[in-house]
Order: sequence, then C-alpha cells, then structure tokens
Amino acid sequence: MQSPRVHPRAWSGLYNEVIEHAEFAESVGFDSFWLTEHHFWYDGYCPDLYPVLAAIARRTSKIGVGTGASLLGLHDPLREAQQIATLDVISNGRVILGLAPGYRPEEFEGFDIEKKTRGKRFYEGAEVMKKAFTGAAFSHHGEFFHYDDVRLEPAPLQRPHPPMWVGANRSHQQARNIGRAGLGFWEGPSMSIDTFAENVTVFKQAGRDAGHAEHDLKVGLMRDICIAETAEEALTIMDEDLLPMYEEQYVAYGYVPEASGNRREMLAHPVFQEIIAASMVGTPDQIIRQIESYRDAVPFHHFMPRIMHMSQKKDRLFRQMELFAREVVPYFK
Amino acid sequence: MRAGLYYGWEGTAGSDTQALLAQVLDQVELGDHLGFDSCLFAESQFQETRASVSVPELIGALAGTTHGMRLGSANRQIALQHPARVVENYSVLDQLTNGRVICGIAVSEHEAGCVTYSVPFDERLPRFEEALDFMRKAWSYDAFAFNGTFTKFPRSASGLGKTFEAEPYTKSYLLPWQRVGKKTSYLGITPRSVQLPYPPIWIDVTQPATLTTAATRGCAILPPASMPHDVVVQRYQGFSAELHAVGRSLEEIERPLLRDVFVARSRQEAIELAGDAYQAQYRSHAALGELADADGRHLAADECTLEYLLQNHLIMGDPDEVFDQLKVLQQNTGINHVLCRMAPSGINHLDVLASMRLFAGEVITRLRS
Repeated sequence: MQSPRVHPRAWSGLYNEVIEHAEFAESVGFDSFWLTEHHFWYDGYCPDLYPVLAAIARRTSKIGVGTGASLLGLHDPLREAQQIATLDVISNGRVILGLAPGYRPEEFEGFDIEKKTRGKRFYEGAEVMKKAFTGAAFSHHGEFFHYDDVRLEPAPLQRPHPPMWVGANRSHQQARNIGRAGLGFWEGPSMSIDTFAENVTVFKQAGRDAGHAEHDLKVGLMRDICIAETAEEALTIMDEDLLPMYEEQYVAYGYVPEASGNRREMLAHPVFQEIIAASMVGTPDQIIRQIESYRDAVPFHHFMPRIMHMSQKKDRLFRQMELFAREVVPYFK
Repeated sequence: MRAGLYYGWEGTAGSDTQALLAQVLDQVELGDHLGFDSCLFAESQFQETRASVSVPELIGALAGTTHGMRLGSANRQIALQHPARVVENYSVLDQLTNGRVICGIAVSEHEAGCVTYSVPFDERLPRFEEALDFMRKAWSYDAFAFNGTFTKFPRSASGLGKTFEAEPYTKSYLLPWQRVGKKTSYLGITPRSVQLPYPPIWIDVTQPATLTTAATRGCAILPPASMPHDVVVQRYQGFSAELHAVGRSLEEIERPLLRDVFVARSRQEAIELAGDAYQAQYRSHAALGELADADGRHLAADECTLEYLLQNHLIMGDPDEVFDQLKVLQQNTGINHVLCRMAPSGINHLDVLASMRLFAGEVITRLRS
C-alpha cells in the first residue's frame, strides 16, 4: 500500500484495492497472499498488517493470509500473538507467519529500541509467541520480555501454531539461527541462486544439529516476477514497474546514491545487477525454466512470486496473476 | 439520536471463540445492513472471565463487509503499548474503512493488563495522558520529535530541551528519501488517517479525572455500559462544567453512551430471553470491581438482582418501552448517540438478531425523527 514518487496514489484506494487483489488471487488458484510491513516511511508503507489481512480473510474463504514479513524485532511478542490468534480464528486457520528482525535504523529509532539487540529480541519473541500459541498459561522471564502466568485466549486454530517462516538475509549466521530455532527458512527476492544454496545448506545442518526433524526444516523462496505472453512485453513490465520500484526504494533507503539522472548509470550499479539477475522475467515457459533451475539447485517447499510492484496497475497485475496461475502453477503441482 | 452496537467480552473466557466471533461478525454485518450507525468493541487484557480478543482485527474484518457503519474500540488501553503503534493501527483502520473509525480509549482499570505489559499500575493515568498527547501530535504534524516522560520518539528526542518539536522546514530541509545515513531527529507516522485532523477520540470516563482530560483536549466522553444511569447523568454534568471552563459547550461535541438494550415483542418476552444473561454479566462486572452506585460504593454480585438492574442499568421491553426509556435517558444526560450491548454472553444468536431487527425497524427510525 505504498504511494511512491513514481506512482503516487491515494492510500485509501490502495487499501480498498488490496482486498480485490486477494479475492482475484483466490479465484485464479493461488495458495496464499502476503503483505509486508515497514514504519515511518514517506510513501505510507503499511505498518500494521493484521487488520488488513483480517479484511482479506473476511472476503475470501480458502487462500492463506501471510505476513511477508512482520517485523517481530520491533514488536511486543505477546501483543503480536494476540493479534495473530484473533486473525487465525477469524480466517478459520489460514494465517501464515513470515517474520523478520527488521533492519532499517529509523524503525528502531522510532520505537526506542537498540538496533543491535534485534536478533536476540527476535528469537526471544518467537519463543514467547510459541508459548502463547499453546493456549496454556505460561510465564516467561527472558532478557527483553517478562510475563507471569498469562494465558492467550483465543488461541490460534492451527495447532501447534500457524506456520512460522523467517525472512533470511545473506548471512550464514542468520541461516544458522533460523535452523537452530526450528523455524522455516525463507529467502528474499534479490539473493543469487548460489547464496540461496549455501544458506539452505547451513540452515538445514544447523536444524539437524539442534535435533529438529527434517520435515520441520522447510524452505521458501521469493522472487520478483514479470510474466507476459511475449518476452518483449515481460521486459516492458520489468522496465516500467519492477525497476522503478527498486530505483526509488533503494535510492531512498541509501543502498544506491541518487544518480544525476542517468538511468543507465544506476542500472549498472552492482546492487541493480544483482536484482536483475535474480528476477524472473519472461513468458510462462521461461519462468518455469527459471524456477526449475532453483529447484534443481535447492529443493524448496513454497514459492512466493512477487508480482505486485509499486505501480499497482490493476489490469496488468491481474493479467500476470492469471497467466502465472494458469500456466506456471499447474506445472509444479 | 444515533444508535449503534457495542460488544464487551464478559463471560466469554473458556467459550468457543470461533463460534462467538463468527456470530459477532454476522450480527455487526446485519447491523450495518439495518442502518445501525456504529459498532464498538471492548478491549480486555488477560482478565479471568474475558477472552482477550484483539479488536483491530475485528474492525479490519468488518472494514470490507460493512459500508456505512462507523467502527471502533470502546476502551483501547493506550498506556500499555508504544503510542506510535496505536497511531499506526488507527490510521490503517481509518484507511481501510474509508474514514469510519472511532478511537475509544481508556485508562487501564485492571491491574492484570498493566502487570502483563510491565506498566506500573499507579502510572497508568499519566501514561494515558502522555500517550493521548502523542497521538494528537502524531496526527497533526508531518514529522516531529516527542520527548515525553514515558515516550521518546525517535530515540534521539531525549536530547530535546522540550516535550515536543515539529520538524523545522528550513533551507537545509531534506526530502524524506534524502535523509538516509543522516541522524534521525524527526520522524513521521504514515499512512495518515482519512478523517481530519484525526479520527474522533472518545474517552472512557470510569475515572472522573478523565473528564478534565477529555475537555481540555477536545475529546468526547464515553461512559461505560456498567455505569448506572444516575452516574452517567453526573458524568455528563461534570463534563459540561469542564467544557465550560475551557470555553466550550456540550452541543459542540458528540455525546455517546454504552447501554444494555434488548427489544422483544413485550417486556416479559425480553426479560425471558435476555434477563438471565444480563444478570450473569453484571455479576461478572461486580466480581471484577466494575460496578459502583452513585455514591461510589462497589456492589457485590448478589446485589445484582433483576429489579435493581432494570432500574439502574438495563433498557428492556417492547419497542415503545425501549424508545421511552432512551428518550428519558437522552433528556437527563444530553446524549445523542447510544451504543447498545444487545448480545450478552449466553444469549441465543437468533434472539439477538431478532432484537436488532425490531430495534432498527421500530426504535431507530423514531430516534432519528
């Protein structure tokens, strides 16, 4: 629900449309629909996912409703658990939790949290949530959170709890941490296939060493997708929708200094080269081949295509969603 | 007078929450269709007899399936979390509902919630007031720094010499996307709300001190459902005096009230269908120390006889009787918006729907004329 410089929109329109997008995604057969969170961002990036997912859940009936990701490093885990549990009940057990510690300094500044504590806060928070989701009374006295004899009611419908995935970065340490905690590993959109393969190996080994069953060590992959009937049209979508999104956000975030106006210069930057290499652009057959190349390198359980880009052109978005659902998904099911 | 719905969670601990929430959502959606003006939900934090349902998700769920009805919380305990989260929450809900949110807020009255979230119970009123001031600033300014006793926003605001500073728009002003890598001195909370300057803020007035808080900040007051009629009269009289002291009057402000209301074809039928459920509900209020008479004396559970409740709390009967009782209440208090708790725990869902239909068809129409 962003209103960026390149495609300014009224926020209320965006919030209304996202429900339509989810309804359409369900109608064409997607298994899940995900939203992502950031705070204090100039373009109105959604800071509160659960009420929006509740709106989607009430208007749909089977599609999973996911957080991709909820920034647990910034939140009180018991309050977060309360929101998740209510959402899981309202949605009849369709919540999928993608979680991440957060990385933007201004978000930690805004909530008066020391950024360097985010890793420990995150994993302690995940532990609190798992205790809360049992629905039994529990106490917790950790480094950051303290609760005495509290009982979450309602508890989520899904038992023992909604699936929990952690958004990974490039680091092996993060992959090890996720494996040790027995949570799902979820690779972000711009990591290379080699980084993905390395991190999954580290994740699984850490999970096995910590005694977690192989079937609990799940792997998810997210990629940016630009799909069309012809390769030329897919490249046009990348040029008009995907790259402007990254240009603005990465310049705004400071990964890339603002270029003097020469777009070719910006696109030559190593960060953008990595994004372009990791994105899947092309016809359905080309997309299938690209997904297969990842699957052959690293078997994964869940693929998350990011088709929605900031331009929010509904007709183009719906065409892509339908094409992906009709031509790509059946190949892998 | 406007009329809405209100849901508390008394007696819901240990119940089938999935069925309960499904019924509540169905009832509210019917209410929107029938023309009820509003619906508020209570927040309860880890009290023994109440489920701790998260209210924003209920409002979110109804955002896309209701169209005219205003939706909100009755008593969000804003002292129990970072106020920036409260602002974000209500702003997102206001966007999702196209500007239909009501922010009902409260000082935490139960120690359980404060203990759970590590907030000292005796600090709850100053924390509440500071959180309220933060919310109003956050909605009124693009970017700002807030250096309160309990809240620093951002962290670097602790070096600010005063409580609040709006971001100065000087020649060195950077656009938001140009600030990366620079010291974070001011932050803005987005998205903004649809309603300007912000969604209406209604303050629970269980504590008389909150009358001054509401009057000095331009907020409405919301007497709770468990407050007897004559204490509601006192609260609105007190509020009127507080408003007068700051140069305002009651007529400028929305004047809501939470009440227990149930309509049937006869008073006898209403009592048969809902009397026991309401009585159980009030015994629960009494057990939690939430029931006091006009002299401030807390009532015991066994004092909650049906006769006492019908005289001091419940509005029940056929449509004419309910209308008459509401008009008397309106004349005595000056209220112009009643939110009806029609579904106490234990009452049959179909009986609630029937009461809603009767109320909408034969009472709301007269209240509005």
